[in-house]
Amino acid sequence: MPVFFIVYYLVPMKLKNIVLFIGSLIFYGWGEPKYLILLGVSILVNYFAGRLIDRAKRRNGAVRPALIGALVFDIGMLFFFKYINFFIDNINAVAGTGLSRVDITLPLGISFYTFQIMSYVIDLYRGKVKVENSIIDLGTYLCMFPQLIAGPIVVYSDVSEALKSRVISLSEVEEGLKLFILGLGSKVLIANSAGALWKELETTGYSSLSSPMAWLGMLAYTIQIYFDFNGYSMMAIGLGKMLGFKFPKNFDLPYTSLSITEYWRRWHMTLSGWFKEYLYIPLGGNRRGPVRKVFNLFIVWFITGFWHGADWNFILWGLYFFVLLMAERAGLGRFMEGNKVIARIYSLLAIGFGWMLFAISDLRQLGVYLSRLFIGGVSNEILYYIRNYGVILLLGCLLSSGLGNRLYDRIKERRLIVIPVLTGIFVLCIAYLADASYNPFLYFRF
Amino acid sequence: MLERLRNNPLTIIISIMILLCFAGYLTHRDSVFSESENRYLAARPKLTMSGLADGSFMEQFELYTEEQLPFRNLLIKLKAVTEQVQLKNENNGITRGKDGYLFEKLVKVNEQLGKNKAAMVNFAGKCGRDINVCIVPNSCEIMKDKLPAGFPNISQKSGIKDLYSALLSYDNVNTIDVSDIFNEHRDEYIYYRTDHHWTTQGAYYGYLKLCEELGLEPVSMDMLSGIRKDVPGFYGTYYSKYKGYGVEPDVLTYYDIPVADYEAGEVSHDRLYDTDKLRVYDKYAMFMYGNEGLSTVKSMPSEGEDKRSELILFKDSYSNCLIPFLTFNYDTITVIDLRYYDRPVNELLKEHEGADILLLYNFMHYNEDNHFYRLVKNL
Repeated sequence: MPVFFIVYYLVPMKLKNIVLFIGSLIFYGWGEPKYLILLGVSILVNYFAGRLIDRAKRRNGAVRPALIGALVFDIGMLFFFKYINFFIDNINAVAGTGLSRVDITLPLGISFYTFQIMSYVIDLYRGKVKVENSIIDLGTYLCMFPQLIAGPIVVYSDVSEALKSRVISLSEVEEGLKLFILGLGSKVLIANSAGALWKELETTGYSSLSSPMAWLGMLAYTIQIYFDFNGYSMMAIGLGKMLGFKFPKNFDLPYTSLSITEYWRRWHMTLSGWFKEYLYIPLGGNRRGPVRKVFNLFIVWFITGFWHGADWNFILWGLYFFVLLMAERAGLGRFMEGNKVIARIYSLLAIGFGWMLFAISDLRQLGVYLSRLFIGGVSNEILYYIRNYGVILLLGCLLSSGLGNRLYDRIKERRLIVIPVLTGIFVLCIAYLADASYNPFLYFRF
Repeated sequence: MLERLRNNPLTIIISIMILLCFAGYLTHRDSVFSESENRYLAARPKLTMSGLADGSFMEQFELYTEEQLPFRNLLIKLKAVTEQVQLKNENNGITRGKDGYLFEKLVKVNEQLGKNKAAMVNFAGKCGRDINVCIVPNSCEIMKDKLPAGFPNISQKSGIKDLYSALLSYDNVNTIDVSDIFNEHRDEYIYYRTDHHWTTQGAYYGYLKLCEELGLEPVSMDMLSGIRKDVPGFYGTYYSKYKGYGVEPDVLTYYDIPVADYEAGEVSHDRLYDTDKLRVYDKYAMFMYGNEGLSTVKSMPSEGEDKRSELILFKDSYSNCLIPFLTFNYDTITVIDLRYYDRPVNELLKEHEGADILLLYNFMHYNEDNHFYRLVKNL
């Protein structure tokens, strides 16, 4: 990685994309060499589809076939690699057939890069962006390593100019590095620690949980997933900055929301943005009457859930938010506006319950867990877990409430504080990674 | 230029750190063995086409960079201390209780335990000999008053009870429960604070119970006190995972009991203790020269006492500090560690007609070791 950065900084702009492209392919191939081909095919197909769309436009020919071809390919690929076994299982269960599962593993980052490349062909079709004539540049866009694996979902129009020319200044690098270290800290120091508690509950099994433990577990998972995901996004945005790109913000203190509607404006913003732009609006959005609008929202939330994973609990998770959003529109939202305290409690509980739907894919186990929240009784094990996870969870709560950001803004200019703090976080991260007994941190390398 | 560097100190600091790290990899010689962790570290993998294609090279390379990281020991210590600063009393699955006692946390019974139980029951039914079975609880089961509040742990007691009641229907099996004598002496130094083994004192209480059950005359402590040796400064396996502050080292005790001959595997020794090991990290390995698949102890001929001729002992490393006591009661002790012994056990039993048979394991070993199936191989 450092070698990559040195080369990248040394070569002239013309060659930067090719260095970045090759570097990204190595990075991707490092974790999963066999799916490099898939990524390559995806680039080729969409590149030529883009050229065809462009040519058809200039000649006033039929634009749709190329667009539809590309979309069918993209969605088909995603469907095959991510969902085929889900459908096989369900068909087998319903029809009693004995179709055998296909032996595939999920290609790394496929949900992300498929969505990114789709944004390119759709925007091209809509005339929002110009055709990309360089396959290197398109490839660079698609598999740029910072965001390839876990977002944010960068649409082509966000970076099309930067792809052609960008200025990298040392101060941008410095800023990017700061973001990167903060993201790394989120992930390694907070998410992994909180995640260890959740992991332990999973191994113990839910059926013997006491109620306080079940609540603590829910809190731990809620903290873990935010710091994990937001950590990745911050690292990606930071690395992007170091490379001269400006990636969009992905999280805006989602746990401070006062409603679920607001929450989804703050959580994984690039994903909700994508769904709005490329699914909700093409479906007709809110322009085709209230019934159609509800239906469109239903589709969007169904697919949002399904996008997160090929299992019923994810669909349930998406629809759960659909129901809450509908309820908020129907009047719950107005009620909440008048009661800030209730609104906050309601939002946090709704988010937490949502994460349980998300975390536990076996629906029966999910039922067990939810019931333990209320009828688990009390046992003194909670003392042990509070002692061992209390500080980190409290820290997680404080940081996700926005306190961290405010504090950081205040000390940002005082270099004598910021630099040692960030260096310290970096060293601690290395220490935690060096002694990694629990480290689900698989695809990031130095 | 200088001005620009001064304005971007973080970039400079991190760059220098990475450069130093690189230089570290290039210049320092790889350490093969980590003494403080008591295990071998990953070596630099060889680059092969097949390794590249299936990703195994990348995996190994990663492990290598991780395990040979410059300042690794220091960083691991830093992590342990950071955990302590958060008031945590657990690190890497090891928990610090009262008085600097370390415990291993086990929240769920291993699936392996069911298989091991089945293997033992199967062996009891088919071996056609009288056997003695003893599962020794670990420190967390006995030293309950040293555990931290709310320590989540499975009950080893019920796990042992479960096995014993499954063996109850076999007349040829005698089950030995040491928990009473251990609970009686729980305030004594019967388990190491920093290691997963019992101390030699603990092993002696185990020995007393065994003698009672097997009808042997135990050797008295008074007789041994003259040959007692104490070795301070022992940090064991628990500590090599825990690494935090506030833990005193253990004192390792052994009684220099002479033997006529000790054959450990292929090698013959004239004593039971490998005192060279007292200078390295894992001092417990001094007992019986570590673990061997098959080893034979010939005890000193002694006048007047009525010794039995032979014992076959199926064991884990707990027994290593107990075996010396047994030399006062048997002429020959044949020691089998199933982890390193894969000849059929029934052949061995045939070769040693008339020998007493004892299966002695600690609970953690019974819970997780996957070599018990070898008991019933070809039986």
